[in-house]
Amino acid sequence: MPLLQAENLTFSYDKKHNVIKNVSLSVEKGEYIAVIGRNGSGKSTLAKLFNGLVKPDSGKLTVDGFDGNDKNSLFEIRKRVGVVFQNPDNQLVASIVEDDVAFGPENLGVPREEIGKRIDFALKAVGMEKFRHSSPTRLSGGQKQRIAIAGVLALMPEILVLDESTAMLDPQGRKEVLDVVEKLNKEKNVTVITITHYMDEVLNADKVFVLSDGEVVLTGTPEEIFKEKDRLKSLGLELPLAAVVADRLKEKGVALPDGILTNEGLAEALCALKAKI
Amino acid sequence: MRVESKDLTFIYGEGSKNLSVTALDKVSLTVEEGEFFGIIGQTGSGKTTFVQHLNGLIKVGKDKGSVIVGEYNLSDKKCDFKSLRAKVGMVFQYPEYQLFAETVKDDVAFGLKNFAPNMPEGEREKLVREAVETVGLNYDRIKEKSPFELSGGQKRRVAIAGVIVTKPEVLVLDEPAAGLDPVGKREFIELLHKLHGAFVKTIILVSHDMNLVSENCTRAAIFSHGKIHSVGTPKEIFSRYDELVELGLDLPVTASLTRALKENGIEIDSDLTVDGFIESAAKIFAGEK
Repeated sequence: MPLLQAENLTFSYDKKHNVIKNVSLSVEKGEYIAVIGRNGSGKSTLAKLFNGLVKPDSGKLTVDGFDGNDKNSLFEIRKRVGVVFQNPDNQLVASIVEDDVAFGPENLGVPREEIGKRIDFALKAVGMEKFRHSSPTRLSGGQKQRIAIAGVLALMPEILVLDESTAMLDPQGRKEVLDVVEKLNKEKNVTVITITHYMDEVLNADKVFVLSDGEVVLTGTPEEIFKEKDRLKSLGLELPLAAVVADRLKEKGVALPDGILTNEGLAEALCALKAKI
Repeated sequence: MRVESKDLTFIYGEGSKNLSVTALDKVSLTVEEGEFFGIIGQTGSGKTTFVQHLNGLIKVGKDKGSVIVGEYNLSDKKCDFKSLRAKVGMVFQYPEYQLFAETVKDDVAFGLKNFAPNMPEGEREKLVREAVETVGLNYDRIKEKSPFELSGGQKRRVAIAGVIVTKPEVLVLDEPAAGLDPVGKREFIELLHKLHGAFVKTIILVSHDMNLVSENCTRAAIFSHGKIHSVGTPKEIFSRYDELVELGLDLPVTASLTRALKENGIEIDSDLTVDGFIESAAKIFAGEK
């Protein structure tokens, strides 16, 4: 059974316009999932449905065997699905880093000694153990976002949902956060669902869901998804810039192979081309 | 209007032994009228502190250098900041978070009401309509709507309409495309070029998006630790591969490709725009099997 399964989820905020329409998808334990789609396509609403922040009007969400429609399961689902949002400043609640990380487990009634261990674990996982007694206000954006992730990790979630969590960070901060997330996925087998506009973040995913107007319209590996160029274009999405450059070079008669998606791949293919003559 | 700073210095918490931070350290920079100027640098390098000086949000301190924008000397106590602010528009990060009024019409009109309180209502509405239409929205359809009912992309456009309603000659934007989807971003950049061809003479764009800077800017400056590391055309700036990486900055895709090919003995000379790169690369590689 998949770790997270959505069956025909439908949701509206105003009971008039469905922002999520009949969405069915499944996520296996340990997978790295990317969700892409235009602004307003329903991505963030989907994230909120995944951990029960909003309740579907119809359909069913199951997480680790717990039925989202059963009120008593909601708590269990939230323990398993942690969401990190876009703006780190909106997610930190305490004036000392360790108190902030402890906030979630304290609310769940985790015993004191155990909380100490969880703070150790979570801060180490995001590489912020040195800042345990610092004030979050004096940290950089990337550091703050890593504390927000630590706060979610302290709940020992099975699934980490990142809702454009790197959008407000500078390149360095983005890299810090992505490295941490990748490590958690690879080493701790944490399932990751990342919602993003950055195509290079999509390239690392095992599976991609493309959302348009509340529906999942494409599912596949990044390679499969980015093959559907015209489809993506009609959905208002774009290929990674390296892929665009590769395509345009091909149009100009450069004999590049299909399926180039990264800078490295393109540079390599161009060098190989030169070596042949 | 020309924008010029000379030896501009700013210290947060000046006087405090432990907490003072020098955000700007003798920054001298000139942006000529007509430029589409980029400012890049790591978080904390002083970019935002610098641009906040350009319309007097942060005042130039005593003995802290000077800022001159067109005919305005901002280091002069008698500087008319009100009229300056109508001419230097400032768009912050996530400008849609600053929408507040009950209707789109009121929100866009707010600045105008402050800058020209005696303007007749009819004239004011004409300018508001023009600003909303310039950013690509249908005025009659949204004027009475709450800004909070709009989509993210529309909100951002309304916020920008509220800045350009005074027809500023200088437009300063701090990371304006963050959070937009790829198409939204492209449309947004088209809007900037459209404004730049109209009443906006000079654009100063602060961004972490190196592709955005290399594609659109006439020149750019790299800030580092409160100082200007270098100034030049995108080609000049982004050819300093190793220095950029050392400063913790990304390279535009074109520069990173040029660098990778150079390491393999293939020189591609271009202006580092995507079009320029493709043209130069096609000359070398086309027809080779």
